[in-house]
Amino acid sequence: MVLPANVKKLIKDRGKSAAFSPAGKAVARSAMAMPEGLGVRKLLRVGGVEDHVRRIASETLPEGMYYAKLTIRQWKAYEGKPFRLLMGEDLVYGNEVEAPAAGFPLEYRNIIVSSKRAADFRLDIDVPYKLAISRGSFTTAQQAEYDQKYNVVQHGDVFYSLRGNTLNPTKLFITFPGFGPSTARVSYAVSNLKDITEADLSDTLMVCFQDRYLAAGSYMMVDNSGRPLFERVHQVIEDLRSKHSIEQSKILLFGASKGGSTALHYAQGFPQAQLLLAVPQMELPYYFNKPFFRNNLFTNPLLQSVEQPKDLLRKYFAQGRRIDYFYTNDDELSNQSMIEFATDVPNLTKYRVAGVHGAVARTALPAMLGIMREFLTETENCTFVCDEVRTFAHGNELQVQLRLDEAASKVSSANWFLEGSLGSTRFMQILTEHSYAFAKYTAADQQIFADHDQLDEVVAVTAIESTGARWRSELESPIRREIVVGSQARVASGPMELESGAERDYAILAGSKFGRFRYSSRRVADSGDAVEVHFVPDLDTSEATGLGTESNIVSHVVRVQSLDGGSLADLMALRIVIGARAVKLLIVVHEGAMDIEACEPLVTVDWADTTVVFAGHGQAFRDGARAFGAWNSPERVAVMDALT
Amino acid sequence: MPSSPPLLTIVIESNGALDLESVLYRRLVAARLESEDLFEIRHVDRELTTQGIAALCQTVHSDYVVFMRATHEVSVDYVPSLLAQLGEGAVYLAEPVVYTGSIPSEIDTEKLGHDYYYSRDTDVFGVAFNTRRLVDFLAAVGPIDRSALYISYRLYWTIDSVAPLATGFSMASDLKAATGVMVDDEVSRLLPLYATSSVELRLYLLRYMALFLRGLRTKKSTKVSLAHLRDVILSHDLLQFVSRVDAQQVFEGTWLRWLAAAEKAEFLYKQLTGVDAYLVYQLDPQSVDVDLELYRIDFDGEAVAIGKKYLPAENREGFNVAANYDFYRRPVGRGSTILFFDRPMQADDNAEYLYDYFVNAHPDFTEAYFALNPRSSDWDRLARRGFKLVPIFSPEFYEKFLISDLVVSSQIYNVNYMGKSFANSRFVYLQHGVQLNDMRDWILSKSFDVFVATGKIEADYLSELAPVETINSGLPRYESLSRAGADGGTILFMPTWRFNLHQLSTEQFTQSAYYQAIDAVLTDTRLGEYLKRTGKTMEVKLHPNVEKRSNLFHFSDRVVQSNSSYRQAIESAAFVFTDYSSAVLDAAFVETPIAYYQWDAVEFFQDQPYESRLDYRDDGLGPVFDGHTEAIDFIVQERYLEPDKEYSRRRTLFFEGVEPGHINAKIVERMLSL
Repeated sequence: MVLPANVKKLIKDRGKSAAFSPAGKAVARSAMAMPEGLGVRKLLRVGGVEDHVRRIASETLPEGMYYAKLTIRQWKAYEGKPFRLLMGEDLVYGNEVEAPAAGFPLEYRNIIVSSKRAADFRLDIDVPYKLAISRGSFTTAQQAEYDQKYNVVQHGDVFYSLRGNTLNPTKLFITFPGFGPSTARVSYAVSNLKDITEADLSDTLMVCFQDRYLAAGSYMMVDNSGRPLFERVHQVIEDLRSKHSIEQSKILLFGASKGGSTALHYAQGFPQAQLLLAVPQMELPYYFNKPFFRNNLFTNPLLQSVEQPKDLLRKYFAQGRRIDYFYTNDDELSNQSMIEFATDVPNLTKYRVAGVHGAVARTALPAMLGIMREFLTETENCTFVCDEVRTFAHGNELQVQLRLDEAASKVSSANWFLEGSLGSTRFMQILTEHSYAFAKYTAADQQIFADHDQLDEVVAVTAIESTGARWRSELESPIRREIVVGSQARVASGPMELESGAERDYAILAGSKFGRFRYSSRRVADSGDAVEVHFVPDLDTSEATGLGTESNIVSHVVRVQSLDGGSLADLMALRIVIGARAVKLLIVVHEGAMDIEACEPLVTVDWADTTVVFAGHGQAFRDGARAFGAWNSPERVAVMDALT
Repeated sequence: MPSSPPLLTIVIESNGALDLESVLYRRLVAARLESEDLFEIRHVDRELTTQGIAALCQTVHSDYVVFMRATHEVSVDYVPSLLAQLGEGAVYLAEPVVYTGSIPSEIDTEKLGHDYYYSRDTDVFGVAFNTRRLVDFLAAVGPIDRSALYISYRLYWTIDSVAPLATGFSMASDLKAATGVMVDDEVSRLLPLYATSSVELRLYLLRYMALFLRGLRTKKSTKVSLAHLRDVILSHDLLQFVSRVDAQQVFEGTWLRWLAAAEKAEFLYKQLTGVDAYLVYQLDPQSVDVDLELYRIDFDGEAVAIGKKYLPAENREGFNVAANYDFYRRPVGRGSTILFFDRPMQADDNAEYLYDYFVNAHPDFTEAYFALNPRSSDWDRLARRGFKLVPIFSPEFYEKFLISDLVVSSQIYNVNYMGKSFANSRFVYLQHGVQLNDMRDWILSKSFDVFVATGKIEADYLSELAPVETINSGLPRYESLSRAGADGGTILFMPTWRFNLHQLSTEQFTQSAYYQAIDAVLTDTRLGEYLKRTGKTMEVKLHPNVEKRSNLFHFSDRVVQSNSSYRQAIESAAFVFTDYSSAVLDAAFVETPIAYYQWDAVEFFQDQPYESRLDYRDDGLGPVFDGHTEAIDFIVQERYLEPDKEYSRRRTLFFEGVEPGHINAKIVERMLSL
């Protein structure tokens, strides 16, 4: 019997509906939660329906929402350029085209869409593409293989693997993953830490969470439907903890980059837990203001409104939690003027590692493994003699070179640090290993900066081996900050405060650039989509009334005085507009606020809807401003007479 | 008579008749057994020059030609390997692995890398050239010095890479590394300028340039222009590899840098304590701002002055950079590792005596080590005496060197490990004798912080080259030298070596003036009778290079070969005579009479790479004889026992400033102040 096509489709649709019904989903999830070795899983795999069942088991989206898989063909011409998937005129998803893994198509999986008709969508770049839409999530064979390799198991809407002592652990070691390449075949990794062995975990249950949400992870803060995940993930941890009666103080939460922010998020529920963090993002919207995220995570309302990691971290600082925090000065996007300037926080150890964001965890792996092993097992403490200490003062910067004794020279697989104090906070400046094993030194990007490092003194040299063994040598004569000529003033480290109108200080560090500001911000409208940032010569004497325009509703007017000749003023403006959650940025540079040459970064500030007004009478000022407009973005720049 | 021309012609250069019994010749002709018609051997009795080679090629009918000297060495399979390669088809050249020292028994061509390329001698020798292509090349490039022919041929034919055959050829001498290359006076172009990206060729070029500049320090003038040298360096980007030159020829390393960038004049040459020594180059020098002017060199009419200048260490580029480890920032103290060594196989020299003094006088310095080859006969002796021994040039030695604060030696080796060398760390050169020749070019090629002189005359000479570094203390071994044989001791004869005797067959050796003069002394009837009459013995301390031929000498019950150490032999002697050895100065120091018997003075000084600084007759500490009879008369008439005011005066002058009981203390005081 041959069924008519419409009947066939009806049956197929009903079958799908049944499969994706709560009952069907429950069955599928039960099957997928079974251990890999069990017969049911084998049957599914042999029968070739495992992927289908996995899709059914995936998170249920509300009615009218679907998973989409975008496959872009002939992408080469657009490599490095942005693209957007639109539904009508509305943004659905966007990214920057990156080459996929060799031999594989360029795919973006698990974009959440609100129509199951592919024809409702279009791509804003002129290439052939395919949009597959499903009620269940998309995956790849490589992801399935990966999940199997690391025993990642789905428990409700939460995915994780378990390692180590699963029977009677006394400690809990929880890891959260960072981002992988956006076009990887494995979009959702776990931070499995292969260097940590089963022997290391003899007393410890290790839980490696998988951030299996949205196209490449959601910091495990929001699910595919846009709902907060906190309760569900917290409950998983709490269930494991209470099941084995593990004390909260025996929990270590670890994450690097995205994983670090996630660890901060879930540390909320465990005030006594220890935190090991590497380069976490402190303010997600600020971090998302870049091509890879601007048209996806940046637009997620929950990630905008969720309590930001920087605010959580301030709470934890106040609580005196034990936190080991690895960072680099060359990562203002993640740091957000938090860790760089944190001082006198009890139980905080800051490890400053040189290099870019992505290099920190790799460079400092021995020390991070060592800290993990200190938590997991008994480790050894050794002392040694530091034979020579040489200091190199270059203006406001200080470099150090050390010579170790013979025993310490033989230490391998370790990170070496200069150890100093910032009040009750311990500061560890990573050292470079000289080709002579006995010599360690601070490279050019590992210097101590008198202007913004607020070290009281360097008291010791410490190595943390990946085994957890520590080698320490107290310096015969501590290196004191007086040897570097600098302002020595404490750097403001408080949060940016945009509501009250009070005068505040703020500082930004980006690599070797440093900028200090005084500012005053007041809210002028309860709702609004624009902020005005007025750079003024002197906060005490300069007034700035909101300019406003007919098309803008200004929410905040902010007056800013740069104390360092305009250094990093562009980032200050950017932080204000993102902190205010506004869409439009109006920068007004008042004549005398900074040299005209220093204004150029303001004209090129990385914010789409920006206007820069130069207000002043001086001819050189006006000419300079017009030149910026001519060279850069004419539509961004306006020149007007002084406002006051 | 072969019916067709042979495949290969081997051209052997030698002074005088070809030694048909030499190892080289026998190895070459042995290949006739299998390949009688494939090669021929030709002898030329004059030095091969480019013109000579060009003329020879016109008369060579073989497809390939190879040049060598009678003093060179080849592997047993050298000729068969070349013939096998050349017989396979036309090639531009075929070459063995080229050595300067002995050829190893196993030749691994897979392991040849940059170290090999930089150290390979690139003269024309040992390589089989395609005769017709060599003729074409010589006609095209014009006058090029013979020493540059090999590299130029490869550049001309764009032979970027050559896989050497697994057979060896050796120059049997590394003298060139010390004395450099001296090109023909008429040569105005060192090399043709053909572009190459070959690292192999560029390393050859770099070494050749360094050796040319080294030779120029001796020659002082050339028709090669500065512009041409700069072109060679820049067009081949030779500075990319210049650190290789620094490791072995620190002087030439600075020179190459200056040639490449003439606007900079001062180049770091040697780090010292508190100050550093720089070489300063100045074009067209009227007045040169230097502490010492060392050379004036003429480059095709353009004069360049090279001087030495001491500048504060703070002036050094990179002085204030944390990434640079400065071995001088750590004072020499009780925790310092200090390495001492004499020759690898033989201690019993100044370092041993100073070490012995140092560890006894300063027992709180617990990390002082003495380096020696464990196969040396001195190893057990020193171990028994409690020396802290380290196998020299072993991994342990280099690890100790790396962490050491000071190295002290009677030898001056190029120790270089992980960028540490004597150019950037402390080195005390004790010397193993007294400088009697004018060694200024050699001295300026070496890196040292302290140079131990013996007496004011030598100290003054050295101070002209290294005023900060020179110390007039005398040699450590002198301090404990005794004169046990003053009454009734032996007569000691200690002839030195001639480097041109290396490759001689036994037959030729026994025909040499060297052998005959020495053996005539040993067998002299009057001397024999004298010894018998007086009950004395003459000990003959042969040079180590002659010991393997000692059976050729006619010893007797009164004339015996000495198996004692130099020290023992000298201490037990009542009279010491030599031809040229400075070892007799040890005897003179303890006032044992000495004399010189120089049967070949004219040839000897002609063949020496260095000129004599002191005149033996005018300044020597004993009489000089050039005839056998006079020398024997002096002994048998016991004139050596007669006090001689003149030699006594000269001796006092020669050793002026040396305090016999305070030699080691003076050196150690200086060592510890570095």
